[in-house]
Amino acid sequence: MVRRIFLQAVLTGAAYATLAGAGLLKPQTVLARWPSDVFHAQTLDAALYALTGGAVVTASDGVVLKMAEQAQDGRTVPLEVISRLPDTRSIALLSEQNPFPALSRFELTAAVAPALSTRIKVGGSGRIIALVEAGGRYYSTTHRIEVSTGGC
Amino acid sequence: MSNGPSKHRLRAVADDGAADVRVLIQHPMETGTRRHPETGELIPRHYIRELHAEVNGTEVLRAYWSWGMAFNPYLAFRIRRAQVGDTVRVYWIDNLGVADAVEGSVG
Repeated sequence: MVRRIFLQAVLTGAAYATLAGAGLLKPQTVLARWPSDVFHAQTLDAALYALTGGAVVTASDGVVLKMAEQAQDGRTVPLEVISRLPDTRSIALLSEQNPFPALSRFELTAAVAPALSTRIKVGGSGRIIALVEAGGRYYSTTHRIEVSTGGC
Repeated sequence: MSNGPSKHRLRAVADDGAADVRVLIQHPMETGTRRHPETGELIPRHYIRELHAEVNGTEVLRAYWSWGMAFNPYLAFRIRRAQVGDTVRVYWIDNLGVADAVEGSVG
């Protein structure tokens, strides 16, 4: 009897794995994961806390943020973020002077290099932060930008 | 490689066994705080919430965005191992539930 229950449990688990593998469980999982608390945080500290769960964030030269030091138009500011840290799992971008500082969180698989280029809105002169999750820890780098016309 | 009549663009260029992907999406990415220049009414917040990139049907990257990403979003990334002809597909869903996608081949 005990053995039978065990087998049933294994089969149920296998069926679930098959469904997940076929992508049938994907939409629900995906939609549930947009981190509302992160993106609705109204201060940089609150956004960082929501992203990390309060874990320690270490400043690191292993995270490189390439972007201009001045921008005329804060509505579209290009940047490149590169992580040289092994086992980089995610990269988040934040802008201190935006009304809602958290801008994006990218989750990477090993199939892509830990380097991204994109464009953000910058609300005013201040710090731009790239937060990297690597090997179960958080690392960041900060870039100061002067913006003539805020983009928020 | 452009993507035919789609208003969005995806290019995937082979480079030494890898591929550099560049995606340009047409989307207003409205913050919800802008006012219409004539009526003065607030323009509702309208932004891409999540974006996924797949290579030959396997997800390689996923992103969650706020309205703080620039309008007509641009994203470039590098697939570590890719062959000419591999299919790269990027799809996204905005906060109004509208989904769209752009696809191309590594060339």
